[in-house]
Amino acid sequence: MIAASVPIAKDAVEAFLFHEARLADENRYDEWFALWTEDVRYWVPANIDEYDPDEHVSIVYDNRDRLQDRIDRLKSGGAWSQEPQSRMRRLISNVQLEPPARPDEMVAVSNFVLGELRHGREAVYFAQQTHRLRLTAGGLRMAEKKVLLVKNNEPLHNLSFLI
Amino acid sequence: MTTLAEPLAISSLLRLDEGFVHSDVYTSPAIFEREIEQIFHRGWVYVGHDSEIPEHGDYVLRWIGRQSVIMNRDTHGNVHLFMNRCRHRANSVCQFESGNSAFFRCAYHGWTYKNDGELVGVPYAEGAYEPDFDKSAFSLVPAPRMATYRGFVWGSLSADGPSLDDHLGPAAKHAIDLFCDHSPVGEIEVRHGANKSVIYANWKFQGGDGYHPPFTHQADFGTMRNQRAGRPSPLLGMIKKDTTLSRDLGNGHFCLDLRTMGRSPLPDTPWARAYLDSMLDAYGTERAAYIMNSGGPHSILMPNIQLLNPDLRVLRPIAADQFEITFYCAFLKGVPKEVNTARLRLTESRMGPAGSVNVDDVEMFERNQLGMRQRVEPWKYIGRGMTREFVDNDVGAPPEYRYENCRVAHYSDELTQRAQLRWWAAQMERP
Repeated sequence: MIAASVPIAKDAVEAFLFHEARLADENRYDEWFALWTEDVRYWVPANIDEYDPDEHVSIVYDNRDRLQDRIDRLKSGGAWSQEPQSRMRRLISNVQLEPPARPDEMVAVSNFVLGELRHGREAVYFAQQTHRLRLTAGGLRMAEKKVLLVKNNEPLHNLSFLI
Repeated sequence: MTTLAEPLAISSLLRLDEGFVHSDVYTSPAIFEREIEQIFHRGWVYVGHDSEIPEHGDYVLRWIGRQSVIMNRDTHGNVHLFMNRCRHRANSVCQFESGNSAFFRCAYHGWTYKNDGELVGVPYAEGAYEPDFDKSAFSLVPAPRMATYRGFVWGSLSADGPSLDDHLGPAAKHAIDLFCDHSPVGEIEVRHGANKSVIYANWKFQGGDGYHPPFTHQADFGTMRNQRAGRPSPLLGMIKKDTTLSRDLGNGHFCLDLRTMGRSPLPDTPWARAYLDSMLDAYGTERAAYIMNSGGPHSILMPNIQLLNPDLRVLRPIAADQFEITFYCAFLKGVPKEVNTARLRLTESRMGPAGSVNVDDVEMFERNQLGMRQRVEPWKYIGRGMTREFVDNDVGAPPEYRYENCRVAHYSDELTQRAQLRWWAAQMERP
């Protein structure tokens, strides 16, 4: 089904990626959280790009409960490392679709560059991201997002915004 | 402000008997330069854990102050600490953070060393040097001293000075013991990845502050989860408790002594019961219960490691206003896999650049560094609890983990900061 309508699927996927990026850039935490399916795997690996996450520490490895913690924290008024919030914009490019494991899912690999400004300090993050998107009654939703930071083995400053 | 050109009068920067410390201690580049020389290039500095290099030929690249060192295990199984510098023209001979190699070869002119340091290759040497040119005089140079305790490896760039035993002292060793003994075989494994943070603040901000959690960490993930469940945050109750202490472990080392709080209840699962049973078998009922309830040592050992379950954190100073922390998640040997997976999830939710605790510590340290730029009133007040310090012999702890003859105060008191600075002043003034 997807193979027969790749241009349409790619348009839909790109529209989703751009929308997700905008919500993250603008710190719209609830709207961003609503993009997820009930099952959540939000993964930012540390040190290397591929490993068993039960054998190696990650920068982020959230299931739904931990992601809910993250969102609640950001909205609490006491998450000092986001008081004031980061200003951000990210550019997404090189979008490619990969074969999904399930007929109701799509897998998209893309690159992004994120510029972040906070307390007068500007940071740039280059990354590849992989989205596993599922078609639900409410439209496309993220079941999994994996972010491979180019500098995931470098000492990083706070990533307390939505990456 | 203290400048590079002025002589340093360390004693003029501390009024600890009144509870005051001058901001220059944390902001001055001149002070920082002396710290590098007196503390990091002279004293004992933690470099790594021997579980990071389990196989013959394994190596990791580390720092002692500003100097790059190779910690490796040679072909015969011996652990070395080599300065990462070719004996010929001083290029670094090791480029990767970790790996396995029988040789270190300098790419510049091809000088080649075995992994025990012996120089075995000097290309086109015939006729180029005196006939008595002795390759054995050009081995890789080891760090002047190396010493270990329970697999933790320290180096010192000074051939003289107190032994590692004296640097640690009995209390800090007991903190390491308590950290390792969460494993039924008493061993940790430090090869399961690490989060790394850069902090734009002074390296002497190392925690051990029991006053800040209810304020700084009011939005940590644990609190968020408690709020969703309608439970109060335990952080607020901690300051009211009298049974938890801040403790001076001697030689600048200190801890928040939370061992009596029963912080780490295990879930009621088969793997947790198997872990508990193995601990009971290994240590007996009383000692095992003590270890399990202690939550770990929560200790900070000068100058550069912190033992905060489940992490072994290692600090690297960069400048007066910049340092790095690497959070190694220490796995326990001899436990069900799920125990270590739980340790991974715990550190990810709290530490590193995207956890919920470290990021707000970073923010506070950086706000502190900014505040200290104000020169109108440069003195900081760290006098909390000065009138309620006392000497404690820790008689409630099993002898294996007893912190004898330590100054203690209330958990929230700034005894820890004062202990660190007294040690610091002594290092800075060493002739």
